[in-house]
Parts: sequence; structure tokens; C-alpha cells
Amino acid sequence: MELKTIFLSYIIWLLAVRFLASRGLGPFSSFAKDLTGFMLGKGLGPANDLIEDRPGAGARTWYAHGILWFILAATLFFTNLWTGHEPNALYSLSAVGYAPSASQATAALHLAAAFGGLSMLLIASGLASQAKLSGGRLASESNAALMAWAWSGTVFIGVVIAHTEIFTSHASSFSGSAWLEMPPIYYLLFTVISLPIFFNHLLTMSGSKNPILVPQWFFVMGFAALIWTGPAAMMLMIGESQEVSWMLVKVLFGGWLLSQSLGIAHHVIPSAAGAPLWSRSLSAVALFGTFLTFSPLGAAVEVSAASESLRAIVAISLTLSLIPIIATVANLSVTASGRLSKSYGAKMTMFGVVMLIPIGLGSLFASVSAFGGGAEQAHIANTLDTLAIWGVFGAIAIGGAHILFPQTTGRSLASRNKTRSTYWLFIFGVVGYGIGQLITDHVNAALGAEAVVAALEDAGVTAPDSAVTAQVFASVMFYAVAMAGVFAAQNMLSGSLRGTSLTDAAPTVSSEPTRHIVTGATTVRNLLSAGVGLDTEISMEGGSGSSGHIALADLAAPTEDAEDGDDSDDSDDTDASTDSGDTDDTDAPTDSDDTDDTDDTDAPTDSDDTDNTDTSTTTVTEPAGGFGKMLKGELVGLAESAGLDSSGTKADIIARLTSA
Amino acid sequence: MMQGKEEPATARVILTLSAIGALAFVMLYSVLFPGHPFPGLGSVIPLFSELGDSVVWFFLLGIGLGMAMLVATLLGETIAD
Repeated sequence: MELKTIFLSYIIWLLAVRFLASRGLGPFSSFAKDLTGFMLGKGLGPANDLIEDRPGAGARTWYAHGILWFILAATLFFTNLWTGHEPNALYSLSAVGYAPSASQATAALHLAAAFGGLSMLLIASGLASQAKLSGGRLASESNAALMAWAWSGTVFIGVVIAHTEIFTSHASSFSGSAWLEMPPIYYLLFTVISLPIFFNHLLTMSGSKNPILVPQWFFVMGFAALIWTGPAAMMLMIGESQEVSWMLVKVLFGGWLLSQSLGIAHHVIPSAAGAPLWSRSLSAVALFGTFLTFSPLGAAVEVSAASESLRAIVAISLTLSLIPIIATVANLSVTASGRLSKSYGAKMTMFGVVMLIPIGLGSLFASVSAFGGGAEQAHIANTLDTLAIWGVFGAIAIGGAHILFPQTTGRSLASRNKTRSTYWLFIFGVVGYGIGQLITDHVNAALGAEAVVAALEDAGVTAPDSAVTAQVFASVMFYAVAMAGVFAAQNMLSGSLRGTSLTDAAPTVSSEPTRHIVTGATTVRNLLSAGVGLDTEISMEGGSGSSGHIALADLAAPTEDAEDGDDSDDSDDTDASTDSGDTDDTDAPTDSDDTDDTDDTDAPTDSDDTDNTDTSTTTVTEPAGGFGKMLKGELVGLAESAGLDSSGTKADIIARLTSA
Repeated sequence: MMQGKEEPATARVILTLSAIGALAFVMLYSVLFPGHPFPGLGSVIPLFSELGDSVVWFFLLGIGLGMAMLVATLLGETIAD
């Protein structure tokens, strides 16, 4: 089947889903909702009673399976990297029957990573986010949990099959495609399992009185894309088509994994930042652009021959896909700017979002040349795909889990230190792997070039194995990703069992200053940032127009400041909307990974509030011990910052400060 | 008082950097000591002698210990409850 036809079917399907989801089925809507609710619940019979239908049960089960698959997938990836430079490293396992060929190992790890670890963690965060945005719970939590078991079982069966003769015989008769190496009928199972989750999302949204937000559309449309891949993969049974395979991989990476990742990022970042999304139009562009263009991610899949016109269309579509990527990165970066200093989960998510730019650009060039061209970038295509999987989707999946998992259990994560370790291990692992593997790829490509090989043979010189050291480095660095998964799993498990209950209002020590001096005009926002409380005595110093007392005019906050992104009070726990700024959906503080650890000593100091204070207003706060305990140099600085005379003795300066 | 109670964030950075530095030297072992391969897990612990001399088993042992800790935590908390 031609690419144009199959792409058209994809777009029509997505548009139909979008239209029906937003408009409903007219007079049949009520009937459809009742029927769907029945099918998700009682229609399953005894299976429905296996799991209790409690809020958060669905997402929690997906998280539990997802994090285990994440560790397994990272381990498989690590061993695959290692055997790349030491083929017999795991030879001893052949004694117990584990001796996969390179293609078998690759198929297994692709399945475990793309459909196991990442898909399950992303679905979990999607369900948690959907429940939160729709009023607290899914339409059927028990069904969502059941589907997690079904999905996990399907992945397990696939990983087992990948190591057997079934896969080998299939691979010999059909050349498959990168990332989708299994028999096409296998992927139909994921479509079948996705349908209940898809309807669960829709039913949850329809039962909510809140308006539908951008993250929710990402989740629903992503599932629509995944559902489409099952029947589309069946077209491969009719006859081998590289173009269909190419399209399936692009939908897997762009329509499914990327869309779920962006949906989570569009929820997690504003929630953790305590601010609404910076731009509504940029989020809309990200939403539609993600589905209406070919994603550059998934660069390893090739089409050996294509017409010039088709190549041009594909190249244009691939290039246009940079627009939603750039829109997302810009929108979320500005939203998060200066506001994520405390939440490692949100920072991990932001890392994944930012990595979209370099990986997307690299993948763009590789994808364009791989579609009917010379595949000049084929030597780095696999590395780019791996970076997309772990550096983008993996980072957002793990980051989102750190933010949203505590909400499904009602308990915070066990340790902020483990969260921090996970963050750094993951960052070092991905960046180190990327550097080492790209060096390896380029060295191998250079030494493997025909001209170089011929020249070395003529000279009677054996090619040096200088790339091996870089490859060892890449393998060892990637090991950190696997360990990050282990740390995250321990943090989540311990947190779910003995983390601090999120409903407990922890007693807080009042640290509000007894006196606060304001020079010039100020805002309530700045006063709150400085820690001013209800009992703080506020003194106005010249320039306010009402020296000595507070005037309401002085406290009026300019509305533009709320969206500037450089305000200084963003580290508090004020509720924030995760939408594009047009609704009043409120979120509880979601950086639960930061709330519990009593041994976190840098929490009070790692806020960047002081870096972002508005310089147009100078304020002086008397410390708890009084000015008398401050050094003279500090008093001089304080007086100067308040616009007061800093000359004279220490007592003189204190007198000026206190008499203000 | 000799024993401080502070735990500055930079201390963790130093620990991380030193761990990476040590790891780098381990990776350069074969360069620094050519002809002397890095001992495998089987060479250090005879119980694992059948696994061969690959260094990869040290790494897999780490993941295995991590997974074992997960199971131990789960069992421990279940029994505690």
C-alpha cells in the first residue's frame, strides 16, 4: 500500500476521533456512555472483581509494572551495548539456555523498552494526570488496573517469543522494520488492550465538569494513534512494504511515545512550577503539529527507494515537525523558568523536553536521508533512536512518575536523596552514553569507509580498535540509567508503603519577620516572597507617597507581572492551572518528591528566590535575632540596599534602620 | 565539636565526581596495565567462576542486588504490617 493512502487513513482516523470526542455522538451519547461504562466494569464479569475500584488503583498498577519493565529494558540495553565490544561476555548463560542472537536481543530490548518500560510508565502518568484533571478518579480504576496486567503479560510473551525460533523464522521470511521486529499480528494485541484504556480516558473526560485541557487531548489522541497501528501493521501481512513499516515506526515514536510524553510534560511542568502554561497558542501548535506531521524521531527505519515527489513531501513533513517540538520546548521552558529549583521530578521532565531539540535535529537529518536517499547518517541513527527513547521519553516517564506517583498512593516518595540520586544518575547516564556512542559511531564509520579500508590494506596496516574504549565508556555510562531505574523503584516502593501521607498537614514553624521595611512601591507578591506574615509590622520608607503606613495603591500588583516568569515567589505551594490559562482548574502542589525528607538540608537554601527579586523595589527585613547580631559590613550593605545612609557607627546604622 | 552535622550539597557533587574519576581509572585499567586483564567476578569470588572473566558481571551483580533490595523491602514491609 502506498504511503499517501496509509497516511491519509491515519489522519482521517485521528480527525474523526477528535471530532467525536469533542462533539459526542448526539442522541446516542448517553447510550454510548452507559454501554462503555458497563463494558469497562460489570461487562468483564468476575475479572472486574479481582481489583478494587479505588481511586488511583489503575495508575498505581501501571506504575508498578512500568518501573520493573524500565529496569529490565535498561539492563537488556546495557548488556546489548556491552556485548557489542565483548561478544562472549554472557557466553556462560548459554548453559541455562540463554544465548540470543544479535537480532533476537535487539528485538527483545526494543519490545521491553518501547512497549514495556516507557509505554507503561507513560500510560500510568497519563491515567494519573487524567484522573487529576477530571476530578479525582478514572471512570473505571479496576479496568485500568486489569489492563496493566494484560499489557505487561503481552510484553512478557513478546520478549519470550523474541528469544525463540518463532521470531527467527519470522525474521527470515520477513525483513520487519526497526523497532517493530515482531510478527505484525502481535501488535494487534496492543490495539485490543488499548481500546479499554482509550474508552476509559474518554469516559473520564465526559464525566468531568472541567473543560478538556491540552494534556488530556495528548493522551486521547495518542491512544488513537496507537490503536491505529494494530490494523495498519496487519497490512504488512498482505505484502512487504517498507513505506508502511516506516510509517508505523514514525507513529510509534511520534504519535504514541512523543504524544504521551508531551501530554505529561504539559501537565507536570505547570503543576510543579505553580504557574499556568506560558502560551495557549504554542500548546495548541504542539498538539496538532505532533499528530499532523511525521516525527523525525525513529530515525533508524529506512526506505530504500522512493519517488522524488514523495521524498520531497516526506522531507517537508519531517521538517515541519520541528515546529511543535520547538513550540513545546519554548512554552515549557518559559513556564518553568526559575520555578523548578526544588522539584527533581520536574527537572528530569524538563531535561527530557529540552533534549528534544538536539535529538530531534539530528534525527531529522538522519530520517530525511534514510527515506529513499543514501542513508548517509545511518551510522548514528540507532544511537539517535536510543537517545530519543531514554533521553526524551525515559526522562519524561521517570520525571512524571516522581511527580504523579505520590498522588496515586496518597503518600510522598520515601527519600528526596534517592530522588536526587536518580536525577543525577539518569542525566550522567544518558549524556555519557550519548557522547561515547556517537564517538564510537563516527570512528567506526570513518574506519569502515571503503577508501580507508582499501588504503589500510594497501599499507598492510590493521585498523586500530580505538573506538572500543569509547564504546566501553558508553556502556558503563548507560549502566547509570539502569541504576537510576533501580533507585526510582526503591523510592516509589518505600514511599507507597511508609511515605508521609499527603493529607497530613505538617506543622510548620512560623518564620515570618517581626518587622519589614519597604522602600518605594511594592506588591503583595513581593511582600509574600519576603516571608511577610499577618503579624508582621510593615513600615514604609520614602517614595511610597504615604510614608509610615500602607496605602492600598502601593499594594496593587500590576497584572503583567503574573506572566513575566521572573517573579520571585514561585517556590511556594500555591495552586496553579495546568491549562493554557483559560480555565480555573486548580492543582494541589505536585512536587511530592520534595516534601517529606527531613534530612534534606539544602531545601531552605536552594531556592533561587533571591536571584529573581524585582530590583525596582528595595526591601529590608529585620532578622529574627534583630539587627544587633549582624556584622557592621552586613548592616552597611542592608542600609545601602534600602537607600539609607550607611555611614557612622554600627549603632547609627541600626538606629536608621529601626527608625524607618 | 569535631563532628559536624551539616551536609552541604557540594559534598555530594564531590562524591559523585570522585566516583566518576575512580570509574574512569577502572575503565583505563587495561591501558594503564597492558597485558593484565581486569579480574572478573569469577576470579574474585570462586562461587561465580563458571560465569567467566567478563567485567560485565560486576555490573549485573549491582542490578541484581538492587532488585533483591526491592524484593526485601516489599517482604519486610508486608511482614511489618
